[in-house]
Amino acid sequence: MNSKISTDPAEAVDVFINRVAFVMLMMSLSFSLTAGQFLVSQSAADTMNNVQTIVMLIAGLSIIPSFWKLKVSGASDLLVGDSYIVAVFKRASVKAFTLTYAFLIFAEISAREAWFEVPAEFYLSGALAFTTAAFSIAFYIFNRSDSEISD
Amino acid sequence: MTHKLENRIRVFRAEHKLSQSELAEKIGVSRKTISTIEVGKFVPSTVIALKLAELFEVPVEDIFSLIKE
Repeated sequence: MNSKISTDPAEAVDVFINRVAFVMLMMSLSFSLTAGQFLVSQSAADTMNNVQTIVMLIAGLSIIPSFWKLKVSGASDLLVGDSYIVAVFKRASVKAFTLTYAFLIFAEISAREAWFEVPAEFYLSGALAFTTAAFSIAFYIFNRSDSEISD
Repeated sequence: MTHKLENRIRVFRAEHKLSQSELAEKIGVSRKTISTIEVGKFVPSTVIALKLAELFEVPVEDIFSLIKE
Protein backbone atom coordinates (compact mmCIF):
# COMPACT_ATOMS: atom_id res chain seq x y z
CA MET A 1 0.00 0.00 0.00
CA ASN A 2 1.22 3.46 -0.82
CA SER A 3 1.75 5.47 2.37
CA LYS A 4 1.07 8.70 0.43
CA ILE A 5 -2.58 7.69 0.20
CA SER A 6 -3.06 7.05 3.90
CA THR A 7 -1.24 10.17 5.16
CA ASP A 8 -3.18 13.42 4.91
CA PRO A 9 -0.58 16.16 4.23
CA ALA A 10 -2.40 18.87 6.20
CA GLU A 11 -2.80 16.62 9.25
CA ALA A 12 0.86 15.58 8.96
CA VAL A 13 1.86 19.26 9.14
CA ASP A 14 -0.33 19.74 12.24
CA VAL A 15 1.26 16.77 14.00
CA PHE A 16 4.77 17.84 12.98
CA ILE A 17 4.37 21.41 14.26
CA ASN A 18 2.91 20.13 17.54
CA ARG A 19 5.95 17.86 17.89
CA VAL A 20 8.28 20.78 17.16
CA ALA A 21 6.69 22.66 20.05
CA PHE A 22 7.17 19.62 22.29
CA VAL A 23 10.83 19.33 21.23
CA MET A 24 11.30 23.02 22.01
CA LEU A 25 9.94 22.35 25.50
CA MET A 26 12.38 19.45 25.91
CA MET A 27 15.23 21.65 24.65
CA SER A 28 14.25 24.26 27.21
CA LEU A 29 14.55 21.65 29.93
CA SER A 30 17.90 20.55 28.52
CA PHE A 31 19.32 24.09 28.41
CA SER A 32 18.00 24.70 31.94
CA LEU A 33 19.91 21.65 33.12
CA THR A 34 23.05 22.94 31.41
CA ALA A 35 22.70 26.29 33.16
CA GLY A 36 21.81 24.63 36.45
CA GLN A 37 25.03 22.59 36.46
CA PHE A 38 26.94 25.78 37.28
CA LEU A 39 24.96 26.27 40.48
CA VAL A 40 25.18 22.79 42.05
CA SER A 41 27.83 20.35 43.30
CA GLN A 42 29.81 18.12 40.91
CA SER A 43 27.84 14.96 41.79
CA ALA A 44 24.53 16.76 41.23
CA ALA A 45 25.87 18.18 37.98
CA ASP A 46 26.74 14.65 36.79
CA THR A 47 23.18 13.50 37.55
CA MET A 48 21.78 16.51 35.71
CA ASN A 49 23.98 15.66 32.76
CA ASN A 50 22.52 12.14 32.63
CA VAL A 51 18.99 13.52 32.84
CA GLN A 52 19.84 15.91 30.02
CA THR A 53 20.88 12.99 27.80
CA ILE A 54 17.55 11.24 28.44
CA VAL A 55 15.61 14.45 27.73
CA MET A 56 17.35 14.94 24.38
CA LEU A 57 16.77 11.29 23.51
CA ILE A 58 13.03 11.67 24.19
CA ALA A 59 12.98 14.85 22.09
CA GLY A 60 14.71 13.16 19.17
CA LEU A 61 12.52 10.05 19.28
CA SER A 62 9.33 12.10 19.48
CA ILE A 63 9.97 14.09 16.31
CA ILE A 64 11.47 11.45 14.00
CA PRO A 65 8.13 9.64 13.22
CA SER A 66 6.26 12.86 12.46
CA PHE A 67 9.19 14.13 10.39
CA TRP A 68 9.06 10.89 8.40
CA LYS A 69 5.28 11.22 7.89
CA LEU A 70 5.82 14.78 6.70
CA LYS A 71 8.34 13.57 4.13
CA VAL A 72 6.23 10.67 2.80
CA SER A 73 3.08 12.78 2.59
CA GLY A 74 4.96 15.42 0.59
CA ALA A 75 3.53 18.09 2.87
CA SER A 76 6.67 20.19 3.31
CA ASP A 77 5.18 23.02 1.21
CA LEU A 78 2.24 23.29 3.62
CA LEU A 79 4.62 24.31 6.43
CA VAL A 80 4.56 27.83 5.01
CA GLY A 81 0.92 27.62 3.89
CA ASP A 82 -2.16 28.99 5.56
CA SER A 83 -3.50 26.88 8.35
CA TYR A 84 -4.47 27.49 11.95
CA ILE A 85 -1.45 25.67 13.36
CA VAL A 86 1.01 27.62 11.17
CA ALA A 87 -0.60 30.86 12.35
CA VAL A 88 -0.22 29.75 15.98
CA PHE A 89 3.42 28.82 15.31
CA LYS A 90 4.15 32.28 13.90
CA ARG A 91 2.34 34.02 16.75
CA ALA A 92 4.28 32.01 19.35
CA SER A 93 7.55 32.82 17.56
CA VAL A 94 6.84 36.56 17.73
CA LYS A 95 5.91 36.30 21.42
CA ALA A 96 9.10 34.31 22.18
CA PHE A 97 11.23 36.88 20.35
CA THR A 98 9.72 39.74 22.34
CA LEU A 99 10.13 37.98 25.69
CA THR A 100 13.68 36.90 24.84
CA TYR A 101 14.60 40.49 24.09
CA ALA A 102 13.39 41.51 27.56
CA PHE A 103 15.22 38.57 29.12
CA LEU A 104 18.49 39.51 27.37
CA ILE A 105 18.25 43.04 28.75
CA PHE A 106 17.85 41.59 32.24
CA ALA A 107 20.75 39.15 31.65
CA GLU A 108 22.96 41.96 30.37
CA ILE A 109 22.28 44.06 33.50
CA SER A 110 22.82 41.11 35.86
CA ALA A 111 26.12 40.20 34.13
CA ARG A 112 27.31 43.82 34.30
CA GLU A 113 26.38 44.14 37.96
CA ALA A 114 27.87 40.65 38.64
CA TRP A 115 24.80 39.50 40.60
CA PHE A 116 25.80 35.88 39.97
CA GLU A 117 29.41 34.60 39.94
CA VAL A 118 28.98 32.33 36.94
CA PRO A 119 30.68 31.90 33.54
CA ALA A 120 29.28 33.26 30.29
CA GLU A 121 27.97 29.79 29.33
CA PHE A 122 25.45 30.07 32.16
CA TYR A 123 23.92 33.16 30.56
CA LEU A 124 23.97 31.62 27.09
CA SER A 125 22.28 28.42 28.26
CA GLY A 126 19.85 30.46 30.33
CA ALA A 127 18.93 32.62 27.34
CA LEU A 128 18.41 29.56 25.13
CA ALA A 129 16.33 27.88 27.85
CA PHE A 130 14.21 31.01 28.19
CA THR A 131 13.70 31.38 24.43
CA THR A 132 12.64 27.78 23.86
CA ALA A 133 10.42 27.79 26.96
CA ALA A 134 8.79 31.07 25.93
CA PHE A 135 8.06 29.67 22.46
CA SER A 136 6.64 26.33 23.60
CA ILE A 137 4.52 27.80 26.41
CA ALA A 138 3.18 30.53 24.12
CA PHE A 139 2.41 27.88 21.49
CA TYR A 140 0.44 25.72 23.93
CA ILE A 141 -1.47 28.71 25.29
CA PHE A 142 -2.42 29.98 21.81
CA ASN A 143 -3.26 26.46 20.67
CA ARG A 144 -5.77 25.79 23.45
CA SER A 145 -8.94 24.28 22.05
CA ASP A 146 -11.40 25.73 24.53
CA SER A 147 -13.57 27.38 21.87
CA GLU A 148 -13.16 24.66 19.28
CA ILE A 149 -16.24 22.68 18.29
CA SER A 150 -15.81 19.45 16.44
CA ASP A 151 -18.45 17.29 14.86
CA MET B 1 -16.46 50.67 15.40
CA THR B 2 -15.15 47.13 15.01
CA HIS B 3 -16.16 44.35 12.66
CA LYS B 4 -16.60 40.69 13.32
CA LEU B 5 -16.18 38.04 10.66
CA GLU B 6 -19.18 35.74 10.61
CA ASN B 7 -19.35 32.55 8.57
CA ARG B 8 -21.92 29.96 7.51
CA ILE B 9 -19.55 27.06 6.96
CA ARG B 10 -21.44 24.83 9.39
CA VAL B 11 -24.67 25.46 7.46
CA PHE B 12 -23.09 24.70 4.10
CA ARG B 13 -21.40 21.63 5.55
CA ALA B 14 -24.74 20.34 6.76
CA GLU B 15 -26.32 20.98 3.34
CA HIS B 16 -23.53 19.06 1.62
CA LYS B 17 -23.50 16.38 4.35
CA LEU B 18 -19.80 16.86 5.04
CA SER B 19 -17.97 16.37 8.33
CA GLN B 20 -15.21 18.79 9.32
CA SER B 21 -12.62 16.16 8.40
CA GLU B 22 -14.16 15.54 4.97
CA LEU B 23 -14.36 19.25 4.21
CA ALA B 24 -10.78 19.75 5.42
CA GLU B 25 -9.52 16.99 3.16
CA LYS B 26 -11.39 18.38 0.14
CA ILE B 27 -9.75 21.82 0.41
CA GLY B 28 -6.37 20.60 1.64
CA VAL B 29 -6.30 21.88 5.22
CA SER B 30 -6.42 20.18 8.61
CA ARG B 31 -9.62 19.48 10.54
CA LYS B 32 -8.47 21.88 13.24
CA THR B 33 -8.21 24.69 10.69
CA ILE B 34 -11.86 24.13 9.68
CA SER B 35 -13.11 23.92 13.27
CA THR B 36 -11.27 27.09 14.33
CA ILE B 37 -12.61 28.97 11.28
CA GLU B 38 -16.16 27.82 12.11
CA VAL B 39 -15.99 29.17 15.67
CA GLY B 40 -14.33 32.41 14.57
CA LYS B 41 -11.03 31.69 16.29
CA PHE B 42 -9.03 31.73 13.05
CA VAL B 43 -9.54 34.16 10.17
CA PRO B 44 -8.83 32.20 6.99
CA SER B 45 -6.73 33.43 4.09
CA THR B 46 -8.30 34.53 0.83
CA VAL B 47 -7.13 31.26 -0.73
CA ILE B 48 -9.01 29.14 1.82
CA ALA B 49 -12.10 31.35 1.49
CA LEU B 50 -12.06 30.98 -2.30
CA LYS B 51 -11.57 27.21 -2.06
CA LEU B 52 -14.60 26.97 0.25
CA ALA B 53 -16.68 29.09 -2.12
CA GLU B 54 -15.65 26.94 -5.07
CA LEU B 55 -16.47 23.74 -3.22
CA PHE B 56 -19.89 24.94 -2.05
CA GLU B 57 -20.52 26.60 -5.45
CA VAL B 58 -21.55 29.92 -3.93
CA PRO B 59 -19.99 33.41 -3.84
CA VAL B 60 -17.53 34.04 -0.97
CA GLU B 61 -19.94 36.63 0.45
CA ASP B 62 -22.53 33.89 1.00
CA ILE B 63 -20.10 32.11 3.33
CA PHE B 64 -18.36 35.04 5.00
CA SER B 65 -19.76 38.38 6.06
CA LEU B 66 -18.64 41.30 8.20
CA ILE B 67 -20.89 42.24 11.10
CA LYS B 68 -20.54 45.72 12.61
CA GLU B 69 -20.25 45.72 16.40
